[in-house]
Amino acid sequence: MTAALIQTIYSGLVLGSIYALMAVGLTLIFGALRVLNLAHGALMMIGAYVSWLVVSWLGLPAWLGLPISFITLMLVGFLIYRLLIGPMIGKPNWDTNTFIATSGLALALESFALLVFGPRNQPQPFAVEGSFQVVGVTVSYQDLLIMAVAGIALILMERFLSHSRPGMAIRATAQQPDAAQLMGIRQDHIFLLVLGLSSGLAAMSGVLLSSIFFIAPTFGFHPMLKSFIICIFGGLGNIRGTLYAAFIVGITEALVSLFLGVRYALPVMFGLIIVVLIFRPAGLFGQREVVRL
Amino acid sequence: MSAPLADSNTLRFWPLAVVAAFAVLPWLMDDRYFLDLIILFFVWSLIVTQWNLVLGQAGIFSLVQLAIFNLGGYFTAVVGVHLDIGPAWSFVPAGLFCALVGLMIGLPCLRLRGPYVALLTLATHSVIFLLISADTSGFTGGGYGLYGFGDYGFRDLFGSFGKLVAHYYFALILLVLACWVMIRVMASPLGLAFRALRDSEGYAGAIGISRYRYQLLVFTLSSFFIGLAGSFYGTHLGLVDPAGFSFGTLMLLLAMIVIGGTGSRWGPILGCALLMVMNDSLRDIPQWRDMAVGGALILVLLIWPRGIADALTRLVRKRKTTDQT
Repeated sequence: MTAALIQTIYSGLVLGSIYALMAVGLTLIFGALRVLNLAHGALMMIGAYVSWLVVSWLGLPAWLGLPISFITLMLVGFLIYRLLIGPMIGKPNWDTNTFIATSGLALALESFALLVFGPRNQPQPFAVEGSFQVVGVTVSYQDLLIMAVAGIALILMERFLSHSRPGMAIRATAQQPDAAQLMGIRQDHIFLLVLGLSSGLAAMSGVLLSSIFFIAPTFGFHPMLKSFIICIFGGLGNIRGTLYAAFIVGITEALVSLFLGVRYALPVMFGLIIVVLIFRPAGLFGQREVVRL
Repeated sequence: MSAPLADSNTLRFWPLAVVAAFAVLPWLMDDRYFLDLIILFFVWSLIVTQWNLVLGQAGIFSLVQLAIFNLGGYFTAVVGVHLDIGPAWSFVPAGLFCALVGLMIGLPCLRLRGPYVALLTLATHSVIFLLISADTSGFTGGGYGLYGFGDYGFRDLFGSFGKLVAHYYFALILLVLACWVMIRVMASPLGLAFRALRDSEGYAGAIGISRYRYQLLVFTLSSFFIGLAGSFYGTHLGLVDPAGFSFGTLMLLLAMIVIGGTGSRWGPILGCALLMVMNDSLRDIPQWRDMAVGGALILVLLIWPRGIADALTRLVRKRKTTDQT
């Protein structure tokens, strides 16, 4: 039993590190732009396919999949901002409209992938074989790779946001857009950067997630729902809270799968989030927005 | 949004003309496929009008309405299969059940704001879907759904085609009723309260308008009608299954509202008609359909952020003013 428990917590940690990557990308967009990006799951899917293409069509070595996918999706993110989200911001009904437009984009991207790549599941080439045993837990090298990549990416992100000038500009814009603009920060550029970064993170998490499952045109949807849950848990727009929440959710999911069965993982999670929101309407770590007249 | 109540004669005339045209339609044609499609149009129009009341008028960014619609169907199916009570008897109870569910969902959800409401209601939608589809006890039929729970008995009265026509009128009457309620709500003190809340929530609160209470009221009311529609549509199809919860359908319905014009009176029905025509004309090339729908959605939102109804109204108004000068 203890071995099973340790194994479960361990797989919860692996999942949690991928969830953290996904959710940080989502929460970054919400924090800066106040936009819920429903195309995030589709971007993950495209990212995973790019990494697959790099190997199976271009014949490049598998480790190049991750960086190439990150950069490609960053460019896609720039395009999405320029063509889709940017023109909508500040127009009437922009909060519902961006929500609908990004979900329309997700729909289009998914059917595009279905058309080009077909419905068959593909394996993710960015993967390593092999595993070893520690205290009754099977640790695969792939899991270690996932945790290493996710950990390094999150630490770099942290450094970038708290110490570099563009990172600080992003945080300033998230905190108080008007004041940030008065300090000479070009909002347009910040939004563009945030969308690029977030899409890049989506690509990364797509590559990592598909390395434990598979790549398919719609595989990003449920992970995206989960990352939304994580974002609410941590408080939308709150990056530190999102990180904690990702691991809480990852471990909870693994525990529920162990004790109740896999099919109850999502319902229990949603039930939990409903309870959390009733008692803490801005998430576990979120601060309540002060409403002024 | 705050369209003036002027042009009252055109306002009265056009909806009645459209309803009259739809009422004579079954006498002019006997294409089953087409009539079926129009029944679906009535049902979806009803959902989007009521959803629009919640979304555009009350300002609740709720995504749970499709789940409530399905619950209406499931109520009738479950009661029919397990208790042997026919759809005719469970029709109104299904609406009441859905109103109750709406109230239960609204109580926690409406305490939140904007995006949190959207995400929480989306989560609720998924919970309902997962609980229904993961059930293995046979209560909801799990992934296969339920069927064989009877119908309203129109087939015995009017025959097979007569049943279709009877369902057609049933749906039309239901839609007209729901639209009438929508208009009454918009013109009532409730509508004024929402306008006040939109203009300045703090001021509205100071003169005793409780956002929470009014939103809860509209949410419950619309759940009632959506539940009725769900019960009817489940009976019309003769089956309910978890495929009805698909995210694609949810987005399609939401797209109808947004393309038509969130908060406008007839916009969502217009959007519903447009998207259904588009969907149906592309049915031979299904692999391109979702891409076309997604693309059209994005284009409309970029060009007319307030929706097509608003764009049309402005066009008409512009022409009128140029005519006068």
